[in-house]
Amino acid sequence: MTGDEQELLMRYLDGEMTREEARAFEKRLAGSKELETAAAALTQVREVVVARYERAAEEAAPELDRLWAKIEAGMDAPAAAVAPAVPFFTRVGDAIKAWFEQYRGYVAVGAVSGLAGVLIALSLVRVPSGHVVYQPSGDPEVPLEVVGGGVSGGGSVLVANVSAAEIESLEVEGGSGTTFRIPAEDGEAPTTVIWVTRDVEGPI
Amino acid sequence: MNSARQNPSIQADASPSDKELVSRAQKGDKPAWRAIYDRYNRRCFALALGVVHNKDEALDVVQEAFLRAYKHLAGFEGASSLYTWLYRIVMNAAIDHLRRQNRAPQVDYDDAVAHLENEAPADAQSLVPQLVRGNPAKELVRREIREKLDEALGKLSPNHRAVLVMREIEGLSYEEMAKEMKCSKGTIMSRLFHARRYMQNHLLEIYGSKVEE
Repeated sequence: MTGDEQELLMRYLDGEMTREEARAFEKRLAGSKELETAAAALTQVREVVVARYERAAEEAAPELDRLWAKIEAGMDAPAAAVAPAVPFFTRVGDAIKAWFEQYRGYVAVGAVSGLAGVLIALSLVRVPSGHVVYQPSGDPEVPLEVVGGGVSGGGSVLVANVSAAEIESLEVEGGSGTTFRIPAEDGEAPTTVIWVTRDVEGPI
Repeated sequence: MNSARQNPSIQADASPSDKELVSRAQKGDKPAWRAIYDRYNRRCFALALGVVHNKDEALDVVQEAFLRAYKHLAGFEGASSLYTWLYRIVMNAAIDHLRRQNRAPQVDYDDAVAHLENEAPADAQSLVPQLVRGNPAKELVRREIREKLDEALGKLSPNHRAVLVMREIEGLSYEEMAKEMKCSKGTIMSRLFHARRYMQNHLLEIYGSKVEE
């Protein structure tokens, strides 16, 4: 059987032919045993599929009857009852609460561990011992002037005779220094702040 | 030749008319909606089962579809028959159900055909038409036959099974199916052809005897 014949047979059995096409095909069908068998085989498939689903529907009849109660309940339920409108923050709060309830033990252990980690880190890290604040005059020829602060432990700091704008980093023996600028306010000159940290105990 | 759409064994009673029941249900008459449910629930279930291929899921689809239909009943103006309208809601609910489960019928046509060809029995490529001996539909009383048939139907892709069910049970035309499945008539014909051939060959295997003409 050719592909064309298969297509024609399918269209014939599915009622997709015009009356004229169907009449012509019926003549062809009557003269071909192979086409007749193919038609019967397709009809068998149809009968089996229909019978299977009919039977499945019959078997499900008691469940379909019981299903009405659920459908009726859904019909009666106002939209709000079906999907209650819960404020966003309540839902978020509930979610966090539920999460906390579920992971309460992990949260407690994590908090204790975190606290211990912070304490250990604090005991190991050296806290900056002091700072020096310089306020530039705005004149590149004028040396920077100490206006406040100091290095704890009475250390000294050497600063070259340069303007604040030229200071990007500060090399300090026995320590380290960093600079940053505070923008000017109300016409005043900007303030350059230099942080100096000791690497070892004692004066810089 | 859309005789399957008028399938007498699934067709429900004719009285009172659908139109009358719809009119009453639109006014809030619950027993009228129940009568519509009783009239069509089996056909809807068969259709849903054809798509989702799972009894419990098909029941869920029927429930969802009848609730959706009730909520939109005011919008039903009778341009199509009540069952056509219901049938579309069931199909949409079934497809939505598959999507929620990531089983949406989006299988590429060629892949699906290749899958079918690989799954088919050895003589699937045979162009010699063969018939199953006796009356295979009546043999469905045998549980093992039903199980094997269900297994074969289950191996069809949702696209192929949906086309088979829409055509054989609902009697939809190629054009109607193409519209429902948002594809060409040619694709529908190919899917139908391959689904039938696959089932035909499985029937020969399931029933264990064949008659070569």
